Amino acid sequence: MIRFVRRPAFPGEKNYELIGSLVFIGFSIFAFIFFQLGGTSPGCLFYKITSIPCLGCGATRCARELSYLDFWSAFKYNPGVFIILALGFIWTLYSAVFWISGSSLRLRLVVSESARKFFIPALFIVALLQWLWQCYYLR
Amino acid sequence: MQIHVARDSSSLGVFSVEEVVSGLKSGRFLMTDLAWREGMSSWVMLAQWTEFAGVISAIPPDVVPQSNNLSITVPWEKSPSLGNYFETIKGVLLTPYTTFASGTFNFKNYISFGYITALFLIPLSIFGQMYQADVNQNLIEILESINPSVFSKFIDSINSQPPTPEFAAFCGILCYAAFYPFFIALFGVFLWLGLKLFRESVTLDQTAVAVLISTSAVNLCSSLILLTAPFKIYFLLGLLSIIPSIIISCRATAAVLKVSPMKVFGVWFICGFICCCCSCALVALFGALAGAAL
Repeated sequence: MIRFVRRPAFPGEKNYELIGSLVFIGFSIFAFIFFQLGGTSPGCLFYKITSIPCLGCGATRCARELSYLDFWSAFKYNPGVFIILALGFIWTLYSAVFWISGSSLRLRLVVSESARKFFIPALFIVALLQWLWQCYYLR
Repeated sequence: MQIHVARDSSSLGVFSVEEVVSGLKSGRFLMTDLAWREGMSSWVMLAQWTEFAGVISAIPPDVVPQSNNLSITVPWEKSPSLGNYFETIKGVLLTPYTTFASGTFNFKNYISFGYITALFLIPLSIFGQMYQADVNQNLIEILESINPSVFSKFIDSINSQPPTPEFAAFCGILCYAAFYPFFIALFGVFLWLGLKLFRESVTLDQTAVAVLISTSAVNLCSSLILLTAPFKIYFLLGLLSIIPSIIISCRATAAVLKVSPMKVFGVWFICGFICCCCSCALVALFGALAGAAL
């Protein structure tokens, strides 16, 4: 079973609300400036050698399209990175609400032991699907 | 109702009452562990829970977690000095399991450890930069001598790269040294995420320290290759050092984290490959930004 709980932080717990939102905002500012300056990455060495895309291929193009707010193109370049960035955005929004409301209860994901058994196979399947998509779209 | 358990600023997970009872009896949980369940306003030590009062009093005195009894075995943690730095590096290379049998592995205590490594790496890297500056050209020569037609695309792509200005290379070395412990700790985050996927109960602090210690030892040894010349010998030694470096690194990391070295290798191989792609892309982005700014 996977579910969200709202609970107080235990002593010494990392402030994921602050860390996550700072990383996301910092990355967004950096990406925006970088692409406005016309920056590009040197390209994937794995792809150059094998002509097969790796799971990270298209990530820079995905970020570039996002900086131009072209969400559909961004998703097509690298769905995994797009979903991670979308989750980062949602987390930053939640963090803003958390800080503004002054609540002491933090949102945490709880994964039961039985659900964890399916987690790794599910992750592999998702990675495989993304890779197949990249082989189709990026080659 | 499920009970959330935490120890030493990290979450141990969510358990049923029965699991907590058996955990207390077996020593998996400590009386000092913090616990919380829905409806409570704050975290409370398990010793203060009325449900577990009977269990705690029934625990025989010999069921005490080992970590409370063992003394620290890591030389650097006993006393952070240059001598103990080399003792720790020696432990990584020769006897990782006895050297890292017990320790606190707090990242804050190891930042200076990382900087000592960085101090040793600076002169070696500068020397390497001075005598192996034209790495691309040397690499092209080697690839052409093997089979030019097979590597033609790769050679062309290297040829199309503009040469790195010397001052940029020196600045790169200095920046790398300035952020060395944190840069290495970043890879610790990848390993930690991977081990979490494999349901290993390791802390982020401990994983960052494990990667920092093992990488320091491997970097220190392998950077000596930078002193070699000509380039063909340097290239050959570099290739030959890959497998021993992986073995040393995985053994030392596993010794600190108390997990199987094969699992560490597996995580590096599967998760590390994916994460490295992303981090390389990130580093390349920073490099490209610096290039655009210059």
